[in-house]
Amino acid sequence: MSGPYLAWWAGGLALGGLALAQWLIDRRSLGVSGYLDRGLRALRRPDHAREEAQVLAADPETLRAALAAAVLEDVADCDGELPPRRRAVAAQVLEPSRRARPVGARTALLYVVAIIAGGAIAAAQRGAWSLELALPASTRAQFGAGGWLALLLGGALVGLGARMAGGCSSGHGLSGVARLQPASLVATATFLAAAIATTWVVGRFA
Amino acid sequence: MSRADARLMAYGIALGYVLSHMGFTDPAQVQAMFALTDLRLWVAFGLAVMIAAIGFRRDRLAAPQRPLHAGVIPGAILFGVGWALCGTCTGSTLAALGEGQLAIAVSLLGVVAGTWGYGAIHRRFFRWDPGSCGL
Repeated sequence: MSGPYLAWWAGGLALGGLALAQWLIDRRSLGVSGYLDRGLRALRRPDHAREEAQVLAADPETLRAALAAAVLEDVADCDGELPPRRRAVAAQVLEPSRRARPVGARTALLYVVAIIAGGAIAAAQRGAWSLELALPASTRAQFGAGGWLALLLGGALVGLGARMAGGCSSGHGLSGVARLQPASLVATATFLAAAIATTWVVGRFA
Repeated sequence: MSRADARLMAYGIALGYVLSHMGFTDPAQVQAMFALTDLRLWVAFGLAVMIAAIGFRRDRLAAPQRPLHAGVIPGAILFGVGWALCGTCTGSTLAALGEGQLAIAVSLLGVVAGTWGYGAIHRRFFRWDPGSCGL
């Protein structure tokens, strides 16, 4: 045990087990930044999100029939070959993929709220839930009063960098590395090295 | 809400719960991780990756692929610097806020602004497919 936190093996089992369960049950790989990105769209374009939710709630067979009709129209219009993009759609209609159904913006936003709720439940279970306005002690130790700026700037870089790299510590670091995806291996090695270097520089010069 | 959506909510709650109990929501633990003075989170994360890999052993190609595009390395550098500065990553920022650490709301403000802002920058300047982050 390290303070109030789980030992390495228990934490690793829990986090890995969650990623494994999500994949085996729903064919969803664990990742947060993509859900946050999509969830924010529900706030920015509520009308769009409502329409999207209606489409996603429709009966799969109805959707399939609509998609098939659209593809058929394309084929009928075309004398020669279907363009590759259309061909890919046609293939999916003929052979439904094993991928999970896409997540709408509203559902993605709920997922974000669920993570917040999970943190609250864990803190309550430790008897540590309380509203704390002050800077985290380690942030204050590292940056002094500049800690507020470090939180804001750090957060902005986390959001920007995760979208630019195509994933964050869960999407690239956990799911991608577990799958040995080249992009995720590169991204994870890079952001871990950048974080170690940043911590060293802050400790040396701040 | 469909059953799959309900299960997604359960995964979200479980993720916030586990990140909090692991200490990923505690900037002091994360600082010790990146200062290499405490290796607990490193080995815990490594074990989690190995367990997750069990599920991908047979059909790792069935999952959505993340393209290795020109934004991966610069984006990862920005992400790593940001994580070290504020002490929480995307998921742990949310879970830390749930714990009642209201200062982390400032980090979340940054994360939301960065996520939002990147969309605009991407449309204006970049050509690669940003991928779907497994959605």
